[in-house]
Amino acid sequence: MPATFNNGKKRLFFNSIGVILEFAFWLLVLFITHAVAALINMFGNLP
Amino acid sequence: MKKTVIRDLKSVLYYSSRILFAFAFVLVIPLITAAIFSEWNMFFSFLFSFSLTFLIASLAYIFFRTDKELSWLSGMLVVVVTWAIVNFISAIPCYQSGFYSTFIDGFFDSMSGYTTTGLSVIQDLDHAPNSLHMWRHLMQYVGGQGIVVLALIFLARSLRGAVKSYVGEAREERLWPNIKSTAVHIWRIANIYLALGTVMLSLILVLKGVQPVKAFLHGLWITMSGWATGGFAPSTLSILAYHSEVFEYAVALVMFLGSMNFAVHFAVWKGRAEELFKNIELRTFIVYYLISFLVVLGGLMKFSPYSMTSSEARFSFFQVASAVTGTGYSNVLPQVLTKIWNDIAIFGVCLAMALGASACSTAGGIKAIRVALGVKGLSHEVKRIIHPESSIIYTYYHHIRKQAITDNQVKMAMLITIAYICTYLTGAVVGSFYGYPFLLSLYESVSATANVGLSAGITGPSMPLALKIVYIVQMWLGRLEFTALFALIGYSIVLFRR
Repeated sequence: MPATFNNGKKRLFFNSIGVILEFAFWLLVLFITHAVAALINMFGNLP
Repeated sequence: MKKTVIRDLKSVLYYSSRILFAFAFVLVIPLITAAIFSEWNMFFSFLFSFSLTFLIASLAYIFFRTDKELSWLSGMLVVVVTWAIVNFISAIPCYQSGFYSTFIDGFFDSMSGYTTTGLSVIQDLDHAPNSLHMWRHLMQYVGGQGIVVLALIFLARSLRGAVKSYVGEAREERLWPNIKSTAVHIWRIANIYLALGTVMLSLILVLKGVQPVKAFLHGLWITMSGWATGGFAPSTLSILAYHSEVFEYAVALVMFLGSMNFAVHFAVWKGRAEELFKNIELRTFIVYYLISFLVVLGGLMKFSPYSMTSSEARFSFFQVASAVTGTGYSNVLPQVLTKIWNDIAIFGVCLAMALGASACSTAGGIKAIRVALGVKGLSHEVKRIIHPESSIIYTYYHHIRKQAITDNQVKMAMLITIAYICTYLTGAVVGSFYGYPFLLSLYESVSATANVGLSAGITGPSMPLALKIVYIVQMWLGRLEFTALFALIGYSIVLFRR
C-alpha cells in the first residue's frame, strides 16, 4: 500500500508566501522583458 | 486474446460511466447561471444535456459494472471514450444556442474548449448569453485540469486504474504517491489561483469603470481560460476589447502562472523557493520565451508598422506570452497580423507556440522539458565523443531533484517532438491545399496542435469543413500527446486480428 499524502509529516495548506513568490517571479520576468525592450530602444532602430 | 479485449471493453465503458457522472455535475454550473440571468432557452438546453449525460452514465454503470482492474491499454481507452462522449454532449448546448451554424461547429468549440486551445467558430460572440460564456470557459477550466482528474477526486476507487487514466492525459508526473491526493491538490491550487485572478482582474475592470457584475463575470471567465491556458474570451476582440495595458499585464501573469509545472507549484508552496531559479524546465522556458520575444520585436522594429517602439514592445510581449504559454489571448487583430505584421514577427510567434510551456501544466506544445532534454542529450553526446571510449559520462539536470539524463528519456522526448513537428507540417500543407499562404497555414496548424488558439484569420464559421475536421483531430492529438492515438490503433489491431 503506497503512502498517502495525509500520512506524511508535511501537509500542504494555502501557502501565501509561495503564492507571493510565484507572482514576484513572473513580475521579474515581465520586468526583464521590458528592460530588454528598453535597452534595444536605447540603441535606436535596427540597422 | 479477442475475448480478453471485449471483456476489457466492458470495464472501459464502466469506468467511463463514472467519469460521466462527475461531468454531469459540471453541467449544473451553466444551468444555474442560465436560471440567474433568466436565459430559459439555454436553461432547458443545459437541462437536456445534463439528463442525457446522467442517462448514458447510469446505463453504462448498470450494464457494465465490474470489479476488474483496468489494464494500461484500457486506461488509455477510458480517456478516448470519455473525450468522445463528453465532447459530443458539450457540443449540444453550444449548437442549440443558435450561435453556431452547424453541429460540427459546436463540436469544434467543445473540442477547442476541453483541449484548452481557444480557436473558435462561434458567430456573434459579443451577443452570446452569459450561460453560454460560462459554459465555454468552464470547458477550458475543466479540460485544463484534466477531465480525468475531476473524476479521480469524486469517483476513484481503484488506485491503480486511476493512475493509468491519469497517465493517458499526458501528465505523467506523479507528485504524490497517492494519485487521488495529487488530483485534489491540483484542483486546490487551481481554485486558489482562480479566486486570486478573478479578484485581481475584476478590480482592474471596476477601476476602469466597468459595472461590478460584468467586471466580476469577465474577471472570472478570463481567469478561468487564462489559468487553463485556454484562450476563449467573452469578446470577438479578445483582450484588445478591454483597451488596457495594465489588464494585459495582469492577464499575462495569470497565463504564466497557469503554464507552470504543478510539481514546481507544489515545491514552492512547500517552501522550496529555489526551485523557481534552479528548475531546468523553467530556465529553458524563459530562454526561448525571450528569444521568441526578440525575434518578434526585431521583426516589428525592422519594418516599423507602429509609430512607437513602446507599442511594438507591448504587442510583441503579449502575443509571445500568449503563444509560449499556449493560451491564445490576443491584443492584435488577425487582419492586423496578416496585413501589417511581417513574416519574421509571425514566425517568432509560431516558434513560441510550437515549443509551448511546461509539462504537467495546462499548456500544450512540445514542452520545455523535452526541449531541455534534447539540448542536454546533445551535450551528452558531444561529451561522449570528446572523452575516451572507456569513460563513463553522466549529464545531470535539476527538476525537483538532481537527475541524470538517460538515453531512453532523450529518445522518448525526441520521438514526441518529431510527432508534433510532423503534425504541425501536415496541418500547414492541408491549409495550403485550401488556398491559404503557407506561413499563415503553419501558424494556424501550430496553434491548433499546440493547443494555443491564436488565429491568423483562417479559423471561422466559413472555413472548409475538411479543415475544421483536420483542426479538431490536431487539437485532440496535441492535448493527449499522441499516446491515446497509439493505444487506439493497438486496440483496434488486437480486436480485428483473426
